[in-house]
Amino acid sequence: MNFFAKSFYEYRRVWKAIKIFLMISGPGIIVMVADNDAGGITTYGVTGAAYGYGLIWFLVLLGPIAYFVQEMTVRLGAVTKRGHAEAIFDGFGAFWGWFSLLDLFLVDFLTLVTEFIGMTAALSIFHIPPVITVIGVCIVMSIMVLQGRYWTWEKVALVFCAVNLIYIPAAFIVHPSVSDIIRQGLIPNFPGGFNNKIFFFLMANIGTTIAPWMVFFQQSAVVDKSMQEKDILWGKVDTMVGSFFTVLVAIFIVVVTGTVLKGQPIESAAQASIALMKVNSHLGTFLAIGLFDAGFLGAICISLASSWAVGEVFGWAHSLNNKIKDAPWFYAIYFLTLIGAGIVVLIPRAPLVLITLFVQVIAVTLLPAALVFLILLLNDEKMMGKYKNTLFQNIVTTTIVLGIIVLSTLYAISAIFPKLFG
Amino acid sequence: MTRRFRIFVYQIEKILKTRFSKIIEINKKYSHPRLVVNKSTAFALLMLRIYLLFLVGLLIFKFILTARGK
Repeated sequence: MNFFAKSFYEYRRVWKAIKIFLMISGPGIIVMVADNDAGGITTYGVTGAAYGYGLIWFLVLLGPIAYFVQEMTVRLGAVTKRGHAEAIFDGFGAFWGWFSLLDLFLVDFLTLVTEFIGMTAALSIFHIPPVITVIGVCIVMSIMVLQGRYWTWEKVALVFCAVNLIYIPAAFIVHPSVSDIIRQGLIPNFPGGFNNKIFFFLMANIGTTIAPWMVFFQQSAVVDKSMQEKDILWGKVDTMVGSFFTVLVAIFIVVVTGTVLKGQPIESAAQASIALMKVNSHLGTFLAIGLFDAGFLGAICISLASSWAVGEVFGWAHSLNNKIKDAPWFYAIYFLTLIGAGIVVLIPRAPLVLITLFVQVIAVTLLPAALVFLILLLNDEKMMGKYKNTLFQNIVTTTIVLGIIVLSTLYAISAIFPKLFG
Repeated sequence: MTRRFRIFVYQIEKILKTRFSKIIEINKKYSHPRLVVNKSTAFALLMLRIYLLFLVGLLIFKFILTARGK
């Protein structure tokens, strides 16, 4: 009897925990999975084609890095009830605030362009013209935000997150060798040695796993969701689950292209989809659907990150819970960035694939500036109280910042002196 | 036509004035940052920012070269 009573109690306790998690979860999973955006899918796809399984270990490493960066935004948002842009203005003054806002706006816009590049490329495989894709996406995304509730928006976004997992069954179709993945992929190595190509790929992979917009987005989403200090633990679990899935999906994409397309001159995810269709039509279709979904998910998050940030700073109403007449500027910025990025993609003969890869690298180059402010804010005991960064968290996050600066510098050197690293 | 153009210019001026006054208001609101950073930290932050912008400049340069096929 005692055993059954205990089991029932445990069952109730676990079920309650799951229900709380389902209520709190959202920002972390969405930001992390949306991180596998069109640029991300392109980067992982091209990485797999260029190096096979060789850089999987690096992707595994990026999971905890993304978690450590993003969980700071959960604590900061839940404690201060402020978005990241407002927190920087408040903490460091207008000068640094404007700098950060401009950085964010620039990187967000460029990244949004890459999302449209991905979506148009994916649907062009199914013979849908880019102009139709751009218009259709703008309409669907407008409907998503205009229904007037954060909760609904979040649940729709989670459905798109689930579609992102399409790469997992895709990897099973190609029957990869598990022993090869472990042997070639999980032991740290730099295939082909240190050269500017590998710097570029490492930078692009970091850029697609952690980006400035993610910091701003998750903190604003935490605030918009009205998360409290008591929810921080679940917010962290949410972020951890998200970081697990982001790395898992990334690895599976590399496995797909690394197994089937290794050594082939693949330059984009769309090109990879077409090449994979020749091998297995389902496989190519999976990759194309995933690419569109990734671009769409990225676009809905990135355009919101900009609108939230500007709304916070200008003191305008900036919540998805507001109707359009209550928050006209919030929605105006959302639509303007969306339409602007869509138009860029329609420019004839623009080097779209090159833009996609370079945007990832530019995003990661500007990342340390955002992270330094984040770390300084998280060390303010007066504001954060018991939620301030521990010594361990400071060591980890500072190492991440220094690592990115060193890698950016090495890449810049290799860009100026291409023969220096061979 | 001229009258319409004048109205258009007036409206634009009005919008810009409102926007700039908002920016001035924001600058005033955040003129005293809550976190006090010493001069050396502020200098380090500025240098980091300039350095990162320099790197972005190099990336754009590299992008142009690559796009041109050099």
